[in-house]
Amino acid sequence: MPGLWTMVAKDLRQRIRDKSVFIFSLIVPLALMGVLSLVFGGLGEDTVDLQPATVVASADDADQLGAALLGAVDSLEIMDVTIKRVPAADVRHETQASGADLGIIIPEGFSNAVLSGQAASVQLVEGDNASLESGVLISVVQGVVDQFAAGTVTAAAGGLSGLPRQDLAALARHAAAGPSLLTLTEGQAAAEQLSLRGTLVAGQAGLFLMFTVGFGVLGLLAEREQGTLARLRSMPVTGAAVITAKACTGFILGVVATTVLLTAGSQLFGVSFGSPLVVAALILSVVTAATSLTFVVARLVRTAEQANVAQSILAVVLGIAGGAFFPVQGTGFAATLLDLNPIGAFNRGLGISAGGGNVGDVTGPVAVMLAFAAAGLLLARILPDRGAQA
Amino acid sequence: MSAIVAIATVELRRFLRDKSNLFFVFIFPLMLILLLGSQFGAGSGQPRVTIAGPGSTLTQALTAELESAGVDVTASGEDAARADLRRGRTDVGMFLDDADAAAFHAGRPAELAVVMASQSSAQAVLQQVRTAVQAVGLDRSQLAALTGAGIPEEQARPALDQAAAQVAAPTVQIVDTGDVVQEFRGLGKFDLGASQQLLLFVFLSSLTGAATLIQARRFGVVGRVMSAPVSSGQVVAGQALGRFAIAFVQGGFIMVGTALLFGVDWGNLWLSALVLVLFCAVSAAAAMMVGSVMDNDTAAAGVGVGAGLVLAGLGGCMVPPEFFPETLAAVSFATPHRWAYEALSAIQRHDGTLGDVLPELGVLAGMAAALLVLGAGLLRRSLNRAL
Amino acid sequence: MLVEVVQTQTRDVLDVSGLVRRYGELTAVDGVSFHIRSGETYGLLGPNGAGKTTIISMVAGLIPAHGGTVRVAGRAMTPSKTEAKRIIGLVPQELAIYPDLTARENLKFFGRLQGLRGRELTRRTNEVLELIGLNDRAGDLTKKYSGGMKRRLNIGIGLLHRPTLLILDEPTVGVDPQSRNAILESVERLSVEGMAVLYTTHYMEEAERLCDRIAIIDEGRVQAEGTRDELITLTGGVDRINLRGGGSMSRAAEALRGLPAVQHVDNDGAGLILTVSDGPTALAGIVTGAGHAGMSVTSVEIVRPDLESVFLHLTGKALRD
Repeated sequence: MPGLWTMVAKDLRQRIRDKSVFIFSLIVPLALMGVLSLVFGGLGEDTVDLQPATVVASADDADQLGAALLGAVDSLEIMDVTIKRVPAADVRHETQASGADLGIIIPEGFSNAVLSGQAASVQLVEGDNASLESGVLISVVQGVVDQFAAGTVTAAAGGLSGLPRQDLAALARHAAAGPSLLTLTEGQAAAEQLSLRGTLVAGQAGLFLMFTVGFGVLGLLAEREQGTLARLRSMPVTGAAVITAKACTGFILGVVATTVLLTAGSQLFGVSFGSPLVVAALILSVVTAATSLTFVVARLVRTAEQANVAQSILAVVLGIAGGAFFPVQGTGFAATLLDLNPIGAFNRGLGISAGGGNVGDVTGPVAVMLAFAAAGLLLARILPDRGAQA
Repeated sequence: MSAIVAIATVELRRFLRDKSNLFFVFIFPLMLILLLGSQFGAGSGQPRVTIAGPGSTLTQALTAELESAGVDVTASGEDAARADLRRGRTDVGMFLDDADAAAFHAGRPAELAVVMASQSSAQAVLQQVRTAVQAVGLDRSQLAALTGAGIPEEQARPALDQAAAQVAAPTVQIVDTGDVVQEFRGLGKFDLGASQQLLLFVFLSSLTGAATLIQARRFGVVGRVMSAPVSSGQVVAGQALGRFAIAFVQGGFIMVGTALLFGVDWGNLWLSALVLVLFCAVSAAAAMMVGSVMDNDTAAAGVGVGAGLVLAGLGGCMVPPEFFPETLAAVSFATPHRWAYEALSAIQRHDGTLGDVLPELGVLAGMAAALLVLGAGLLRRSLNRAL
Repeated sequence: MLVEVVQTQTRDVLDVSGLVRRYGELTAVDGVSFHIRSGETYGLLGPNGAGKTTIISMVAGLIPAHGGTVRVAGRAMTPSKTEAKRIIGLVPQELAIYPDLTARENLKFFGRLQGLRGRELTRRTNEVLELIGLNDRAGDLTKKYSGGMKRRLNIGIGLLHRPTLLILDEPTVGVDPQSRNAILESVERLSVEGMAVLYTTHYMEEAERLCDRIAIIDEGRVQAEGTRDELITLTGGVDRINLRGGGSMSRAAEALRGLPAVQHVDNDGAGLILTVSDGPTALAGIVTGAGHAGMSVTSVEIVRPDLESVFLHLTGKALRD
């Protein structure tokens, strides 16, 4: 197409000269990545491994079941637990003051109460920061107490069934601590999702991509407002070349900005997105989808200002639905809709590639993005022109 | 005074007439509050377990046990469950087959396959699954212990049921939850999101509105007004009042809209409105600063969006500041958002009185005054600068 | 690459025939035909809203015609015909330059689109910058230019590739008198160099000064076409003489009606208004005759017919509002 690259070069020169593209495409998203990563930093680590935990506990050393309970907590395989013994009255204070994950108060005479079937309650004090580890520990204590309860109930049932009293303790022990019928073989799923920070970096890159590509096709509106579109039309270039040039400009800006954001983001926040080849395929696909959307916008609006608003609405709606600020979950139809969002597909693709996926593994998300691009182009052809290109 | 009001009225009218503003100012915040409420409100962070396999007594027992522990259990096909695990849409998947079900039914040992997703929360959920599996197994162990002692099964079952009703089994009681958890207890599904988004959007819209001020300077409107018998002080005051009116209209709309639509409890309405008034004053003054310092309206819109979101994030409008690490929490007090957030949460959650929120209101008023003086000075200076 | 210059001895540079353009119910251009020869400056004169810009938009291939044809140097012109567009240079009425590019960048960009390359592009850019007097400021962003400078650049871009047909749409609207004169002079010079020019205006003086032939446009139609003198004869070629003074005016009117050159005399109380076939020749006899009849003449004015009168004569409306 004659004149195409001349127009693209001119457009790029104008965009580079205008600081807005840098602000919208690089500075703002990077700043947001930084802030979000700071504020979300308190919400948990990016790892599945449980951190060592501290438990503040009070128990009578002579109490058999109490010791058994603490022993079970102390000897957990899944995490390192340090138990700090304090008098019962101090547990609550000490738990909060020392920043421990959990406080356990085992009542006096616990064993006797349990064995004789009288009410007894293990009291737990949750740590201040409600950590993941607290949750695990609470569940562990619950499990142990469940076992004690099972023993008590079994002993009582044995008594009711007329078994001799001296056999009941053994019966209880057998019921509570006998070999479990159900055991677990545990595995971990292949990760096809980004870490928290990875989601933030990818999400912001996706969100602002919509703004960035908008600097391309929507430049048509600026041409019209400057009167230069009429002059271009009087020149030996086709209308298709003019529009293609705008799309190319948006595409180039989008690819550059997204690449810079992902690279800078992964360096600054220590995120890895996996194979550069896969990431490149994903970037090209998502930029194509975003660019096609700008054609639809260009059809719907009359002025550059309307275009900015429409572009912003699409950017935030698709961006937020794609998980730019927080992961959005849906079920049924909503989940399908979320899956069709190109920004969502981009993040999913990055998740797969971060988990070690290759180009073949991301065909799903890539197909979604390219289908979205095709649908956008088709829609732009069908929609009546409201002025931008007239 | 009438000149100031005239300028402010024109600004407000221009704003409301521009239909493109309507979405971002009025519709979008409510949409976001709705979305946040549905994502994070009650039930968020609920552990999710997916069970794949044929329906059986084992499945039923596990589902009942997990649900009683507050876990959201979904039955699903194997492939779907694995896909959900990979994408983090569930925390733990349990893969059961006919052999497991038959073994459980017959009281024989069985090994159950569980798979944990890669997100960090999955660990805690896996522990809940371990506990639940153990509990389900305990029922069987109890029966086995009794039958082992020579009691026939048909007699052992009623004996166990009867015993469970008679004896008081030991329990676990969480007597004290952490401060953070306590802080949000009793808060409605939309309450937190509504106050965060209120602050975020009022400030954000004000800052992006700075572009209008630049346009007014560029179109020479400001210059023309100055040529009328109006002092530059009046122009500045009129612009500030206009920005304030816009912010207050939006903020008021969000408060009323969320109260009516989502039943958000704003506590003492007069007091909440007072916080809003002061926060709007800070926002308006900040917009004047941006509108005076910058000359390119597109760039100003970019800076407005960026600064609006960054400050909101730092000020606790994205993640509640109660979750902030210490330094960040300290830094957040440099933003007006944090002070307004503190005041609103005192009013919303603790029935705070005017006396309780006086320090926050004082800081907001101070910020507004300082920014206003600075913004007015800069605007006055900018009027002498060619665009 | 050199711009192809199509010499047309036998054919016209522009041949417009039966052009029609409708906007909904309104027929903005209704069967307009005209042609321009090489080296000729052709004016479209008409008030605002007469349809001039719509005609030009079809001639330049910006919008399709709903009827009729446009041929530029023998080639059909429609929005998709890029070959025909190489031959024309359009100067739109509104400014059509990039404010965030320099004058030189603007020129080079449009020159490239017109097919100029390399040294030829640089040479023509410099020549045009010289021509429009922007050499000193060629490296400045055009948003910093004065209104007149922007106008000059706007025209310069249209000249860059030496078009065979230059189309100027109201190039002097909103231009200060000095710049306006410079623009008119350069159009005259281009015409002398052999460029065909299509010039629209609603300023009668410009059409009279520049154009070899003029079409008077109103309500989307060509009301009349010809050289200035040909158009003026349409009014009947009569002059008007205004006599001002005192004395016995009704007697003077009676007396003057008897003179052979005088067609009509009107007495408006403050003086006499005469319609005369050849004003300058008849003037002496009229003044003498009025004096003899007892009128004391204090001032005399001959009003010769111009395009304004032609327009008034043809449409019953004034050219300017």
